[in-house]
Amino acid sequence: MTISGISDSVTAALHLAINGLDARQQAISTNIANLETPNYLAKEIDFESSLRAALDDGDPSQMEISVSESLAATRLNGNNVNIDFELLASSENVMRQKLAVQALSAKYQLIRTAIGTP
Amino acid sequence: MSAVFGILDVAKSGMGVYKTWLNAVADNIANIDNVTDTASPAFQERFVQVTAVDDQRGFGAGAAVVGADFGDPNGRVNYDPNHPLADENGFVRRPDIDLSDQMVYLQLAQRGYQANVQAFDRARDAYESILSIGR
Repeated sequence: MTISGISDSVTAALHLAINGLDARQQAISTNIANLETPNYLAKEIDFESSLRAALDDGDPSQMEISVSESLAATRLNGNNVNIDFELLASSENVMRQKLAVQALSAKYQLIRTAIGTP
Repeated sequence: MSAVFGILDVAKSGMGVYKTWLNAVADNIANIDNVTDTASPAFQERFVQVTAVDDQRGFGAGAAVVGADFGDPNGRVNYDPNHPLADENGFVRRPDIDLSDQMVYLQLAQRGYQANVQAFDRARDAYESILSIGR
C-alpha cells in the first residue's frame, strides 16, 4: 500500500479494516452455511490486534488476518456453530464495516474540499 | 474465494445445502407409507451428506452436498394378511422411517435455510455500503 498525499495511514488503516471485516463476514457466512455439518468447527477471524500492532509500527500493510477454530463446546454431531452468536456477529460486523466506510468517505470528502471539487 | 461478491456465493451454497435437505425430507415423508411385498426392498430413507468447503485463505467458502446415504432396505416387516401385497405368511414390508424424526429434520433444514437467507441479506447490505465509497 502506497502512502502518498491522497492515501495516508488513515485511509490505509480503514482500507485494511474493511478487508478484515470482509474476511470476518465471509467466515460468519461459512459458519451459517455449515450450521448442521457434522464435525464442523466454527471459524473465528482476528485482525484487530494485528492491525493495531502494524499501525504502532507505522506500516499498516503488515496487518495479517488470522483464522482460528472456535473452542466452544460441540453438540452431539461434533458441530459447535452457535446460530444466535453468528447472527449477532454478522449484524455487528456489517455495522462496523459501514462505520469504516463512512469514515473513509469523510476522509475523501476532506481531500475533495482541499482540491476544490465539491 | 476470489469472486468480487464472494460472500454471496457462500450464503448461496448454504441455501443449496438446506434446500437439498428439505427435498430429501419431503421425499422421505412422501414415501413414508409405501408398502412393498417382502421379496422387494422397502423404500430407503434418504440422508444428505454435507461437507464444509474452504478457500485458499482459510476463511471458508460455504458448504457442499457430497452425496447421499440410504436407510435400511429391510424396513419394517408388518403382519397385514388382508393386504394385496402380503406374502403367504401375511407379511408386508414398510419403510423404516420415523415421522417425528422427519419433522425435526424439516424444522432444522428450514431454519438453516432462513439463516442463510439472512446471511445473504447482510452480505448484500455490506457490499452496498462498500460500493458507496467515494460517492
